[in-house]
Amino acid sequence: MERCARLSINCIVPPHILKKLLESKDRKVSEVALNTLLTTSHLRGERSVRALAAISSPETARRTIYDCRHGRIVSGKLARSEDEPASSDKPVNQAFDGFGHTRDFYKQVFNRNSIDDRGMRLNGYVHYGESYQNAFWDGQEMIFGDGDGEIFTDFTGALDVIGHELTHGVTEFTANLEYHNQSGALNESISDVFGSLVMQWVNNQSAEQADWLIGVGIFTPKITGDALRSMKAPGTAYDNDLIGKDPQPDNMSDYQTLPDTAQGDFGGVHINSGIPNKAFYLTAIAIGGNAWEAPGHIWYEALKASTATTNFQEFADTTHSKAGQLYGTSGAEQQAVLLAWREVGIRISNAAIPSPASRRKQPTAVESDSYQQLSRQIGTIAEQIRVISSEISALKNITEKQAA
Amino acid sequence: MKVTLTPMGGFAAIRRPARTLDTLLLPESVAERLQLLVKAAATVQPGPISERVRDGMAYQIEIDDDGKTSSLVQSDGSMSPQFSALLEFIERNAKP
Repeated sequence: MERCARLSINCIVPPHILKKLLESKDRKVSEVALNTLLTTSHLRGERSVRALAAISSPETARRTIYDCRHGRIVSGKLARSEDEPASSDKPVNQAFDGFGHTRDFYKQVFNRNSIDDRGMRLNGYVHYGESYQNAFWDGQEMIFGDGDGEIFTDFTGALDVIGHELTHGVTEFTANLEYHNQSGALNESISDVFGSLVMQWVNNQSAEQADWLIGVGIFTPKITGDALRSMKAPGTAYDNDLIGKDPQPDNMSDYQTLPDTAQGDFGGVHINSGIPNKAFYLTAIAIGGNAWEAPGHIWYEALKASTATTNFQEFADTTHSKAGQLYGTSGAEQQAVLLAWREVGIRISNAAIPSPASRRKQPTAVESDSYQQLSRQIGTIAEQIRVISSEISALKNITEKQAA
Repeated sequence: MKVTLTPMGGFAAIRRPARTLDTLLLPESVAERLQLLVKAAATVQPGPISERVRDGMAYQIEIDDDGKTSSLVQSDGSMSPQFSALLEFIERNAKP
């Protein structure tokens, strides 16, 4: 069987099959197909293949929503693609819009081109299962249930949930935090943080204005509870006879050591995430303004600098370090990060806690000298202006006398 | 035969009520269908668990067949079609 490189006219795999492979959801398959086409086209002339590659290129973060029609297989009928108008199906449109907001958030705030920073397609599957009470990320796409109408409503209606799930993809392409124990709780926290930021950014809410609740509106009115989680006050999101009480801790002193099993929530990844969640909330409130700005950038850079096994202490140290790099050592941002982690029970390694006195704004010795110098200069200039005014007046008198 | 479904995990990670079906309390045709589904689900192994699933749910189905107990646990993203069919049957016919 002759290799394509030697056959500049014919290839073993016909181009129409390679074109189909270009559209594969599997990125590796599409990349191999693209490379093959480009390799063969190099011998013929590249223009037509480049055009084809641009159309099929995964660089545009295109959104596609499928309808599972209540099956439990992650496949379905195409319901809406990027260039199509709104569907008559509300969950389809909500998923589509939520993907767009999340995509735009990452692009405009962090200059990140989709989940993988290479324009990865955003595929969603709605109406999964019958009364499926969940939404999840499977490594390639997001799957939404309709809820059961008793405890949960439709999961496409919560933008922070959509942002949360897609952020799992971002985490996979950056730190790839292992999904258990502390790294897993960080993984969950990162998704809560950026899911919340997507919503705040879309609604143009400052840190003070945001409610810091995850999954508001997911519960039906029958359930007494604000949301699924509270970043501001972990452990207070809900308290209900049917589903129990919010189990999240807000401090390391209440960290829950749970089995690394499905029953144990893989070491409590959704439970202990309350601790780093609160650290982010405290950081955002202390810095003020929009949480997606300085706090969001600190956390994003810390995520990119983390690894699969990063734990709470290491992540806290990294956020502190990044705050210093981005906004200055001992600046207000870095102090906010340090104190936030301290409040949740994590002391930043090798960092002194600033005393209350030093935290108040006092002029430094250098600043005092500068004020005095400026004051002297102003005085000198004022004296010079006075002298010049006197000389002008004297000249004016002489001129008037001569004229007379 | 008693079959009890307990869902676990998911985005919400909340406590979810269990559901039980007892063949003694079901119409004969429904009971027979349940028994066939249990047998099929127990026979087929799930697909490989995906390490990439996040916020997926897991489902524990405990079977008590005249005192002989067994348990099946499978997850979103890797469950067999047979387990899925049993899961959906229980969800459709049993109330929490």
